[in-house]
Amino acid sequence: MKKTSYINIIIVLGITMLLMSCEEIIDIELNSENPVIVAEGYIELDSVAKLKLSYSSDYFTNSSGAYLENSSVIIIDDLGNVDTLLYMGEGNYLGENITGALNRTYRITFTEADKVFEANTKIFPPSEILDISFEESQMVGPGPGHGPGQSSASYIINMKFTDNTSLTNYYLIDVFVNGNLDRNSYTLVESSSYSNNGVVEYKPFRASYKIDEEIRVVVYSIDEASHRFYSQMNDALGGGIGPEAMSGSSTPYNPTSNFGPEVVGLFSGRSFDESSVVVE
Amino acid sequence: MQKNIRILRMLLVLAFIPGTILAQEKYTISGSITDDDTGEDLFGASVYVAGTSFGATTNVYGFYSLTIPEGTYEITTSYVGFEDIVLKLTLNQDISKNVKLIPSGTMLQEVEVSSVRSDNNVSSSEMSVERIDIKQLETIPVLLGEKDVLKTIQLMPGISTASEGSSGFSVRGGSTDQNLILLDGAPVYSASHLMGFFSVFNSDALKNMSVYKGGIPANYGGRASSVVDIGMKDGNNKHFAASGGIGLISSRLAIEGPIVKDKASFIVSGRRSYADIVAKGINVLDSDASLYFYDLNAKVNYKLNDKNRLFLSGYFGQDSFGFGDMGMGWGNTTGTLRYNHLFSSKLFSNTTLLYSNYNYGFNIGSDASMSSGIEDFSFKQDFTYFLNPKNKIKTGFISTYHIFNPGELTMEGIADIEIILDKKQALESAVYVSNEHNISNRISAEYGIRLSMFNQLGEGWSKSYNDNNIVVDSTYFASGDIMQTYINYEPRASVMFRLDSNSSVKASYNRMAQYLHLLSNSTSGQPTDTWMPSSVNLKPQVVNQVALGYFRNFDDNRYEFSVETYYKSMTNVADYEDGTDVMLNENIEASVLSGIGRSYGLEFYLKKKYGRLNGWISYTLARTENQIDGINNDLWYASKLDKTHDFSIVLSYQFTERLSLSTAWIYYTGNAVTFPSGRYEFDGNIIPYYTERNGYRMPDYHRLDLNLHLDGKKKKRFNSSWDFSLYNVYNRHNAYTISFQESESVSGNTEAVQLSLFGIVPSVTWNFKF
Repeated sequence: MKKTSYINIIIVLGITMLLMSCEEIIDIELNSENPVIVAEGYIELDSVAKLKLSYSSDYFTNSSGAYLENSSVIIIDDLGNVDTLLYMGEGNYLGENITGALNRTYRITFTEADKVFEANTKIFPPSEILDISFEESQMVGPGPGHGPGQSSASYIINMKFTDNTSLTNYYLIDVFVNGNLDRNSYTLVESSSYSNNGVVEYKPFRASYKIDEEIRVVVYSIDEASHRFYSQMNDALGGGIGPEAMSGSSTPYNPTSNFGPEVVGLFSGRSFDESSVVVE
Repeated sequence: MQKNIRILRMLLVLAFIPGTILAQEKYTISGSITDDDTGEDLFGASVYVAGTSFGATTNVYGFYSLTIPEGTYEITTSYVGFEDIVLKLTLNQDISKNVKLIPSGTMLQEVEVSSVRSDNNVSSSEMSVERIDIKQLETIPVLLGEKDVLKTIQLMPGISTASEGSSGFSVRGGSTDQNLILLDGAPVYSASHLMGFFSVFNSDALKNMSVYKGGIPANYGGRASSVVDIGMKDGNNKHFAASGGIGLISSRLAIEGPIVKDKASFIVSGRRSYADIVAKGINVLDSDASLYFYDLNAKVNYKLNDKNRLFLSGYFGQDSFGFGDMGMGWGNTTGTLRYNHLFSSKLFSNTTLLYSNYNYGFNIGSDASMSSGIEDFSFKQDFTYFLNPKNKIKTGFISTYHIFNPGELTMEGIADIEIILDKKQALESAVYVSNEHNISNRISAEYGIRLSMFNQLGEGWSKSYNDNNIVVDSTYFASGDIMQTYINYEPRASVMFRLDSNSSVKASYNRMAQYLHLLSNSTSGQPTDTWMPSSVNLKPQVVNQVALGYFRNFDDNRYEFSVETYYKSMTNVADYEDGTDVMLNENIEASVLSGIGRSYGLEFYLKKKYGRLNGWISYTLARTENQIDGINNDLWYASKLDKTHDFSIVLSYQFTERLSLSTAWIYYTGNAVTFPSGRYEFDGNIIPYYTERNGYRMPDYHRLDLNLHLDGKKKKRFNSSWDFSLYNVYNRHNAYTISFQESESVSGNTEAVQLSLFGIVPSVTWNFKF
């Protein structure tokens, strides 16, 4: 056999080796546990409180969990003001009388049968967005719209917003592209890592944008418990069980709820500022 | 009166005669046993007087010492794979006798699998030990045709793989960081290349390997579960030789030879992988991508005279993975300087200076970089005193200065971040004494004690945390100040009771203290794992293990059988609070929870050592579980490395002098994992909901591997061989990971996605030797 044939054999064996890993959807039996209460709500600056209550469902079900109806949901601020949230259907409860105010602490409770669940949160002052600019990012290598060795011009956001240097502040950043929320995971900033003389400068480097896209940036000021929850939610969104779980932590877990261990979810106080620009 | 004096004299003489016989002079014969062809020391070679109980074996440096009464003897020296030599000696003074054994030719009828004494399985007081003949690796089929000592030991009872392809392993339920891996005495902290698919050990450079799963002798310490002690070759001190191989994924070359014939020699061996070169050539990887490893082993030894010998050895290995301007690299460096000295025919001394370094780094161009690592400097002194044929006393001490670099991260441009975790320092020391005692013809024992001490040293901060992991108090310690001290007594004992010439019962106990902890967010061990010292918040792990076994040989030691049961209790077992980010976490200690663990099991092992067909069958039934307050509602839960059944069959058949076929079939039940038991919706996302920690199992794993070994025609100078391997012959898609996600095709549906790493993988390797 010619030497080239030997080389071809080796290359074919090499291809075989490199391409042998595979992904496939599998059937797997999971336990059916008693449903757990899911709470999702917030109170924003100058807005009433909202809370959605539902239940979890079996993992492979193709329907959502049932709603928790007929719950008594009450919010109390640190001045003693009380508001009862009214049921609006589909698990949603909406406040009437109390609107979010700066530096106020809120306690929200809801009932399920004879149990009462409670969460606390605070509204911190919003950070003012000072500037949004763009930097060109040259990507080389395989990626959307371009193959190996090709490059595609795109832009990353560089945002600056104010920060209260006397506190450790926490921010959740949402970016809307042409009106659609662009989020694979929660973008979270802890001011101690990024603040410089009262200004946070941050570039969410995993996201990139194209010319003429309309970008709306919303910067939420949130409390520490909310920051922790969203950070852990990023782990949960990463998924994956096995030796190389795509997670920053060691074992899959449920994000820590500020309602306690018997509830999943979050009630978050927040304020925000937003700004829109067009990439050019 | 005179008659009384005569009677008294006779009585005195009669009284002293037995005493004189009993007090017969004893003399010592000692020396080294080496391979006549290469000059390499032979570890475990036997020296014995047939028909008596007098016998000894060589230590890892090939040294033996045998003290027997004055007289004339036929002393046999033997080593499997070599011709016996019988020495006729009159022993009326201490004698130094070095023996050179001649390798026997390849024997179709009597192909040896083990390098230890024929009935050692039964006669030795050692138990829970696997001794690997490096030559045996030549035919065992492993992934991509790469000979791998760490993958081979995972085919033995009580030792299981952490995950598919990984060199990380678990011994009797212990975690991957509980294995002390030594290369010529120096610890190797990350023993794998290419994300765990290959070990860092180039078998061309290795001479011997011992794995202690239990009954660990007192001269070893520092890790809770096992000791893997690997010795490098010294180098052929007779003539120059070279060997190597060219394979699909990597190639290797080893060169050895005398510096001064019969006195000094060297060996250098290297490996380099080229998966990236192949992939670039077929346009699967970018031209600026990298995915490779290389390693280099080197050793020189110099025999100053019969009583003094110097060794200098080292290892350097590096992995590189990256594309564009993003890159990641990690690697080990070890160094050993050793001095052997014979004070007398009975007292052997080994003095060692050791160095070990492990580090990894990550960078994104010049904008971001991260690094972490650990560095050790050690001094070790060991003495072996051959008191008499029944007692061999070992004593010594070791002191290691550890420097921990838990991590540094700097980012510019993307965001200005600088996280530098404080470096940590510690001094770990131990003294030990033990005795190998042949109590009688039927009973032998090895017992001893190790006293270990660990000092965490400044410069650094010692912190206290509240229940919310907030620092409530911190104390600064200057450089060299003692921040925290731990002391542990670690008794060790093993005993063998010989039932008859073919069987014995053995028992062992050992207590092990581990002062270093590996922070990992994976099961299998990754280059990004971080080593941390024990501290006021992170207490040492302590393991007590008892084991009991029955050992039997059949058919003139052709077959070895053993069944062992063990029980381990563990304290200060560490796990993390839910949601702990283990990387670059300055206050990681606050998130570590500790509790207790237990591991128990039954191991069966049947080995055929000789004949055209040889190999082994091993089966392990085991359970490992932990109880840690704050995890799993404070209830006992399965350890993530818990595997109930682990079964291996490894067979090798020699068809002709040149052709052999080896096969390995491996089966094990999946390790314990946490799967979701429900789901919920939050913020438009479907989120998995978890209940019991490690309450599920990965799917069962099994695969069949084959290796066909063909030797070229035997020539005087240059010899070659081919290995044709098939990994996973029936192409089973074993689960590597299982992830849970929303369906891409059906909105609102969820699905489980399994990633399998390797289907059927053929490989071919050409080996050469001259």
